Amino acid sequence: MDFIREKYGEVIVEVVNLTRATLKEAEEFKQTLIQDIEIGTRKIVVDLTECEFIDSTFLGALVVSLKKITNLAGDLRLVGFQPAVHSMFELTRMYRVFEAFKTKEEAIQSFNL
Amino acid sequence: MPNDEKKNVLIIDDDITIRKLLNHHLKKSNYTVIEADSASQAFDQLKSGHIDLVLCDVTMDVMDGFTFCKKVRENENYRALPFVFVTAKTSKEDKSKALEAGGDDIITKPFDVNELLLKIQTLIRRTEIYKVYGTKKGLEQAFNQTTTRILLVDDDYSLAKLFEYNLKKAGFDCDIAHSAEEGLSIAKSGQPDIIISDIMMPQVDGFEFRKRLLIDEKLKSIPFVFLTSKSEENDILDGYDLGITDYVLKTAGPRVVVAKVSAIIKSLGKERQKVVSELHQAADSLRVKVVPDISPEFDGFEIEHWHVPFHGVPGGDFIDYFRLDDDNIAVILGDVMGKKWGAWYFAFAYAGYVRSAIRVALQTTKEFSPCDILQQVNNSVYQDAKVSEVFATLSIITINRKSKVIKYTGAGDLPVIYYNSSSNTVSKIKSNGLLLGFAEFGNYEDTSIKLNTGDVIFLITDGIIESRNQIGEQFGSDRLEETVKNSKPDQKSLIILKEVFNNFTEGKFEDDISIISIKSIE
Repeated sequence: MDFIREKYGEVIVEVVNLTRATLKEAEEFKQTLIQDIEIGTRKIVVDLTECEFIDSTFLGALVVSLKKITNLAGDLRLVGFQPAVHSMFELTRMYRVFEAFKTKEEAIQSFNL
Repeated sequence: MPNDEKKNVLIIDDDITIRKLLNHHLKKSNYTVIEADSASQAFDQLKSGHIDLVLCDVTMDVMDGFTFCKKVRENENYRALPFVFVTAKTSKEDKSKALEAGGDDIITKPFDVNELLLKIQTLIRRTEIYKVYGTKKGLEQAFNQTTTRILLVDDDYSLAKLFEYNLKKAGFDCDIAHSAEEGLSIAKSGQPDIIISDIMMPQVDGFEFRKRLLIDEKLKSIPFVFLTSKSEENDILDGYDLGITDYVLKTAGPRVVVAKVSAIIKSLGKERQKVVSELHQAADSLRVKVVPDISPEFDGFEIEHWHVPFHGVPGGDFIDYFRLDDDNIAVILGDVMGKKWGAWYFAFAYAGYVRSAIRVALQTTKEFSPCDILQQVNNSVYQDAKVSEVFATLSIITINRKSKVIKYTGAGDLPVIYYNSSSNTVSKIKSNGLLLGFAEFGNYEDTSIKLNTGDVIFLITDGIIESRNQIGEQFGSDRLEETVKNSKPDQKSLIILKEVFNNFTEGKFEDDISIISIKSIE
């Protein structure tokens, strides 16, 4: 399984179980997130701890989902940036629109404040 | 705009003041304006001459704007005609009515003239793109022409007939074999896309059939589904040992079988490969271009680009040059995110759309300020619901020939690389703007640099720095900078880089490769 879904109350955590998250998996991942949103989830955490690298297409999948969920008054938050992933977010300025956390617990907790 | 490019706009409004007002602004922007005071007059105008865009009031006597729009759309020739409602109605219901009627956009009175002009220009440009590149639907149809071929092997004649009937009804091509031997020979001669086989068959059973397929290089990778009346676990486990894709219970009925087959087909990478090969054909036949063949001549500068589309499929990256006046030129590099989301034609059309929005903005920009252009483009992308799920990075540079000053702004793009020849140093210039279309205000700012002779600016997309060599090492921005630094001053900037990059990746790229170099020369 490339994506593992965990549920903590109202928060859905999607763990991306890939070392390289790229255009090959982007569409499926986008569908996964959109499905979560369509069934009514408004609090999503995406766990990127396993990812050593993500490409722009995969990032695009995250961005599409973020735009969708924020339009519905929800939020998508991120956790577990490895250095290359961190620089990807920095380069594209996307760290400004995603809220990111160090641990999954912090991210889940942030929704309950 | 030269005269032959003048566009005809039809204004329909029963209020002469509004007509005159619109007429005035449009004429000033070099449009030819045709007026109609009623729907019936508008029909006559549509028939009698070529119209590029319709601006239509909603509340009118006899026939209102919504009804008029519906009637217009009924005519095949006017399906793609840009149609904009100008109305004082602002409720959600009215807006959705307008869209339902077939309108492309709504402008509310009192309207902002600049917004109106921008919308008109964007819509006209988009229609032109569709004309050139074909509509999304047209492309989809082209892709759907190849049907999936299924080989069904079952010794039960009536059951085979039943499944054949249902699979064909669902749009699949279906070959029937009544024994494993027959199945094998059909598979060899025809290369089906998927094989469905019964397990319990006389002489050679389904398991044996599968084993024989597995030793054939050409046939072993074809997805294989067992159709079985047995639900015993052992049977199915035997099947999974043989690398089958799925199994279906006969008792589940033909509809379930069809649904499973469809699901398998969709999930297969093979289907994607097929699409890619068809894309080549489609791209060739449409003669699509997202990158100009040659870079422009611009005195005092040497502008070059290198672009290699991923697997030869055009789409993600795009390059454009636009001469602003005698002394100024704009250079544009963009990357549509999500090219490989199975919607190539959409990414492609989007690239065209962004290009056209840029061109519209360039025509109206006064200061030749890239951030001004970028914000305008962002506005139109952000407001257009049709493209709200696609994002792009964009780098825009304007160059002034006389002052040798370049201005740069970017949207989610990679930093441009600046080679300073006098100090032989390489540095990055970062932009600060958000991805195109993500937020209403993208925080775009211009950075100006004065280039001296020998200085070079490089614009890149992520394909270059993210490409890997055989051992999985990334090319990376450090290596790129190092290569730039080591180029000899008299050489064309891109030659060395191409060579180093090709050697590093051994010619195997993982994404679109795009780079533009701008060198200041004597």
